[in-house]
Amino acid sequence: MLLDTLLLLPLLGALISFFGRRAWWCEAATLVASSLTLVLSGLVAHAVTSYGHLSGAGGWLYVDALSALTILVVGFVGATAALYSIGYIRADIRPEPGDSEEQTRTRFRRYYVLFNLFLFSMLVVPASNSLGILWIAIEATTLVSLFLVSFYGTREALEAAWKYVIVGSVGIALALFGTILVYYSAVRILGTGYDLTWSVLLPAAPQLDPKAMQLAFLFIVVGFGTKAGLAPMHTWLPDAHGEAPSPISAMLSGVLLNCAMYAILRYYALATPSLGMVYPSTLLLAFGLFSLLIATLFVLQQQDYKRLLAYSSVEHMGIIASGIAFGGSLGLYGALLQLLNHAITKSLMFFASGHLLLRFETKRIEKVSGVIRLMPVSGSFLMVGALALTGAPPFGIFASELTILSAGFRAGKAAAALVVLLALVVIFIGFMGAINRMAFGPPPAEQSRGYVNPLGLVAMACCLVIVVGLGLVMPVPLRDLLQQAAHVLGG
Amino acid sequence: MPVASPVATQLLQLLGFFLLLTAFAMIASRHLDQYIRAYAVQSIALAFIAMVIGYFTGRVELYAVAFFTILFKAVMIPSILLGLTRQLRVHLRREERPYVNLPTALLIGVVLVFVAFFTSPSVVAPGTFLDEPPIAVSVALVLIGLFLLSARRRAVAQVVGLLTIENGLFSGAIAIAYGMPLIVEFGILFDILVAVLVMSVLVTLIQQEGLTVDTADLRELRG
Repeated sequence: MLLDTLLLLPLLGALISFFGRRAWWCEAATLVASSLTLVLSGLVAHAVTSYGHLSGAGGWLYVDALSALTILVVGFVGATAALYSIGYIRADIRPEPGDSEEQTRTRFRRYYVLFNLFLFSMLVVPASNSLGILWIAIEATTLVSLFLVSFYGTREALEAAWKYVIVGSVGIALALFGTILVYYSAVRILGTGYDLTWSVLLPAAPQLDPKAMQLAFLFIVVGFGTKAGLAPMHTWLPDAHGEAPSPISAMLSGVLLNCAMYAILRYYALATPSLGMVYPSTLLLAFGLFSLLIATLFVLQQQDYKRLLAYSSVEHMGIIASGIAFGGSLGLYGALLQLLNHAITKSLMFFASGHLLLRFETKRIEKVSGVIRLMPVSGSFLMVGALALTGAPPFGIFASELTILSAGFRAGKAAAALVVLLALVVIFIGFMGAINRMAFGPPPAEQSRGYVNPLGLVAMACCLVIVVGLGLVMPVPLRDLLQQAAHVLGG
Repeated sequence: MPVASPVATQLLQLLGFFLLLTAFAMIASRHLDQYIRAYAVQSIALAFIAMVIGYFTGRVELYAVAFFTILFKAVMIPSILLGLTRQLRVHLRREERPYVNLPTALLIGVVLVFVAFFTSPSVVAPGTFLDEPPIAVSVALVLIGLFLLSARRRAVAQVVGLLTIENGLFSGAIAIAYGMPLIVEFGILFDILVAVLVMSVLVTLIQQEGLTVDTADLRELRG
């Protein structure tokens, strides 16, 4: 019942936004739907930590601790992005000369309908019991978010959307083949035509055919890894994150990547009982380290601050994959904590970048300066967020990265852990260099229009509280959820 | 468990050969019209594979899969794409300045087929219907689809390349795992239809923006 309501809320939001006669209807419907989603996702997490797992919709939905964690992240980022969108989209969709009021309203409505549908598809991913539905939902996230990426309709935005849909679709096709091979790997023990669901497959995991499973896991990691932004399949990511409206960039980076990573984790939990740890870990470690390498190279020479944040997402996905590869309860716990921390910190940063974009009207790093003096509040959010994102103490990411590194040393993978550490240091220097250049220095001579988004500042403050808070104290319920989720993965 | 009959194996080999033939027709076609029609024929061959396997394994639902494959992939998707190319007035135009010329493209196609046949893993577990599912054909189709995706300039042609990859995967799916739950297969078919609709809207938007639908023009974003 709880799960069904959770999934219905964004659909209702989309419906009301579609028929909404006035702008504020769309905004209110979206905000209320996504806030209620956040509340319900908290309830789901609570129920899962107490009862183990939930199911709903006649067995189509299945939620355990790992799914509940993902749902919680989706709920949080969705709610803050909805809050932030109100001011941002109002300022951003100004009626252009030649546009009728009707056209402006249509664009407005389209944004909110797609926003809700995007949220819905991302909630289906972790809540689905069926492997087929999971695949369909991940494909649906691409199709819905495509028009959010191309929202501005500029040449660059359309190019980004095209790259996104083509690269994403190839990836998702490979993941489909992986899904089919997984089905096939269990035919011998479950017979043909069994229900292709987690609740059926997980108990049978130790007896799955290892040869088929080995190939399947490769396809799954490459396929869903494309959507998770693991290098070298990440090529769509910087373009899509760079061109989308800022709240959507936050959702892409904070939630979409995590949804794809969730799928990889699910299959990881399914693969390890029959394959053992070595093969899946080696595969994830290889992709993780390569992502870190690519991210390091591109962060150092980045000219565009939204793309800078996008490459930082590639970096963090690499760290999460490495954390899973290091394994043990410590590595898995660290990776899941990193996933949560990254989602919230990155949303904060994309919100801050949205403020920069509307104020300076450029994405070039060298054309932005004196942010702290011009915009004291959002400027300091930007600084704190950047420090948190690059792993400076005492923020959440520092704690999770430390956990992952110590898991690496403990697992005897010291060389890999040192590579991760080195990449973190280099990225810290490159990233903070770019942020410092924007934050300090004299403000540019020509001032563009003022821009205030008080609700956006509230959304950023919410993120900041969590980013700082998780570095200082770990609430017991959240720790339980993370530990149980790590346990699902075999930790 | 039904026993593999020589007739079934031969029929499937024949159909597999037909799939490859249509893939080569796609490589060789210069007009978008021919290219899309070759895809439609390929989808019909795919539907026949589903029917043959359905007949020999006694799985009635594979007939439904075959029916919807023809409806979606041989009728609806090709007509959407053909309509799109007419609307964009590119259906009869030759591919200008192709990245790869025709003889080279055909040669690459042949090489890809060889690669597929030599590297295809045998993932056959005992107890399946076919001794040797024609997985090499599926892999070859996927590789050719990837080649078409990267060698063609036109956005519409890239979509068809993507659909070819997907046909390859689908044929593999039917051959090695013919009992996939039906709802999943329908979901996938429906999803592909929606994907094609969405992509054709995007192509129209790209066209309206005054860009050509030649993806060589889409080279702004780098680094």
